[in-house]
Amino acid sequence: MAVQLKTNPLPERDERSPGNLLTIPWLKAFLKSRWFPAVLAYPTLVVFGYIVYTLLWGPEAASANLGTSLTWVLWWPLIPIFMFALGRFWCAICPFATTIDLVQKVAGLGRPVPAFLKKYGIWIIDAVFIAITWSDHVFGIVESPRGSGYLLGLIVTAVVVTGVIFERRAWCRYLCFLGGLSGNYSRSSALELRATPEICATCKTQSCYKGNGKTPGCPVFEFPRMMQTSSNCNLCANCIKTCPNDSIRLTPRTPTKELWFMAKPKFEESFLAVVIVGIVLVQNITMLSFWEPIMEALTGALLGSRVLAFTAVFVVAMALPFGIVAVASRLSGKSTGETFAKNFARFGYAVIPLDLAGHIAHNLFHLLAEGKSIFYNGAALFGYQVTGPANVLPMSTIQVLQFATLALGIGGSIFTAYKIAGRGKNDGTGLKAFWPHLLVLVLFGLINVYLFTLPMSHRV
Amino acid sequence: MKKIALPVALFAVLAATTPAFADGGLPKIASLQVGSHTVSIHGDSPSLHTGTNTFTVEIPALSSAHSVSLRLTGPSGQTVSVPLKDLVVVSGPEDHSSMADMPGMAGMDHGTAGGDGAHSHDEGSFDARGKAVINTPGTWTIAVDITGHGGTQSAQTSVDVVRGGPSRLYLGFTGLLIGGSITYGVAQRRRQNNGR
Repeated sequence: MAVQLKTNPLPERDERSPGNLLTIPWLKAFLKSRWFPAVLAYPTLVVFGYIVYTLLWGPEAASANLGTSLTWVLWWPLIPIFMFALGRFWCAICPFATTIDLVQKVAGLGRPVPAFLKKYGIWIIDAVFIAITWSDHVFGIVESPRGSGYLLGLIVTAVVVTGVIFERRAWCRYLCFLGGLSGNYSRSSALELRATPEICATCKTQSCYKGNGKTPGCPVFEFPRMMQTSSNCNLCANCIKTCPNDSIRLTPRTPTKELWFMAKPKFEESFLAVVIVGIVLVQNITMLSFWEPIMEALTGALLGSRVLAFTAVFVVAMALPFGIVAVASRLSGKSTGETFAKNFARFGYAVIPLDLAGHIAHNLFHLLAEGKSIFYNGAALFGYQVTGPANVLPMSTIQVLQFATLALGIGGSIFTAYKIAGRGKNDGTGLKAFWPHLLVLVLFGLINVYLFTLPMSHRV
Repeated sequence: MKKIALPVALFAVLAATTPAFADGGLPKIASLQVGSHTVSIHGDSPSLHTGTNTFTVEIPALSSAHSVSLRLTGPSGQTVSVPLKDLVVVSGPEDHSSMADMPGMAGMDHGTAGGDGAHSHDEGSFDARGKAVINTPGTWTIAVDITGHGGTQSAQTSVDVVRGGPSRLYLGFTGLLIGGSITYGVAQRRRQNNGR
């Protein structure tokens, strides 16, 4: 039987998963070749190296620094769009991941990941994400090339240290704050990689996890046979290369569908989703024109300290969405008999589509209203002195795109909450559990819509 | 109710009336009066620094018969001339009357930049840019010459040049951690291999 699977497995699986993209010969050949993802990862590492160099040693004015344009006007806005379309594919070509691979070739000790990191890694990610957002506003990271360079350099340092000590890409799985964000967003993505359980049941090698002589096992400690979520899969294609039975499927799926049927909802993952609402809130509010007058008034009231004033706003912005969802969870839990924590863990995931839409919509402004700065700063590299308006599209068009994105996100979140509430409930309690969360999502949606009607400031 | 309504109203008024921020300008590092012309010089950093600096020179209403040159003189008398090239202004999807919205430009109304440190409009603004490498920190002099039919007019001003690049403490800290951990990893692996 095993021999049959090896030699002619495709027709059987084609009937089960007609959307399997691995039935496209050239795509399958590319993903199985040793050039993938190296052909994308190494050029990305080179560009990253240049970006760090120019951030640290180049112009200090953000508008003149190509590193700032490439990072905050191009990469950061494109990342959530990538995550929506391709899940965590970026992580497969991320320069941090490539750095880990290179470091481990010469100095990796391959020690197992400690239990506390496995257990509390997501909380560390939550804390680091909050701390970086706070630092950005207090010390200036995005608007300061040096600040951006320092942040990237510190991350590279942490990546190298963890890469030397721990096996595989422990950093990416348990510590990377961007990985935590992309893990959450990838649950909404339109693409999933899964194994075929019937084929895996006959497998004796488990080389998707362990690796074979040519290709290492899953770098993020996933066992494709057991995978029920796309939150960790990097689409690095190692399992596609190593599986002797062609069990792996790569299929398009309905965006947000994974969120409807979370088998083991985790409080900390829902917490991150809700915290992102606060972070998006802070990011948007600080770019609005009324932000400065409010900060001046608060600074005056808080011992003249701008740091204290911002910290106060920041704490409120972080706590507010959590408090609102917590109240909704308590109300919702009463109708289902769940504890607050269990209800919060289940319904917190419903915020993810709105998070993702808010993130994309916010950054559409930077991409489309400042996108030409990349061209101007890039031309200067080659001796051409060019300038002009930075916007790629008129602001009115950008706003239409922003609102359309938000509408999709709000719709996606509400539908997700509806599906979560209805899961396994035919006695009417599902609808009762749904209402509090519906109100919260509508409220978050309206706040986002309002914020996007206000003018925003540029990054470069 | 009034307690809530008042802040909400204030918030709404502020939100509605305050204009958007417009970043994108370059920091001005010097302003000189050369004859009747006001010359603004913008850098790519808040202050000049060792390494490569970019200078953007703006002179409103300068006739095409004039040419402009920029040079730097260091604390030891060393001279660096800055070759100026036209700043080409491309149009965008929306009409912009101010350079404040353009990355790499200061907030001045603009005409069309000319060629070789000159410009094509009879009384347009002069916008040009050039790069120069400064090797030593200290007090430098920036001098601007405007040459026209009536001869050459000059003006100069002093500027401080600071050491460029990131903090040495930061470089030392990250370098030590990266180098130290790799060295540790390599040494441990050798020890393990020798032990086998």
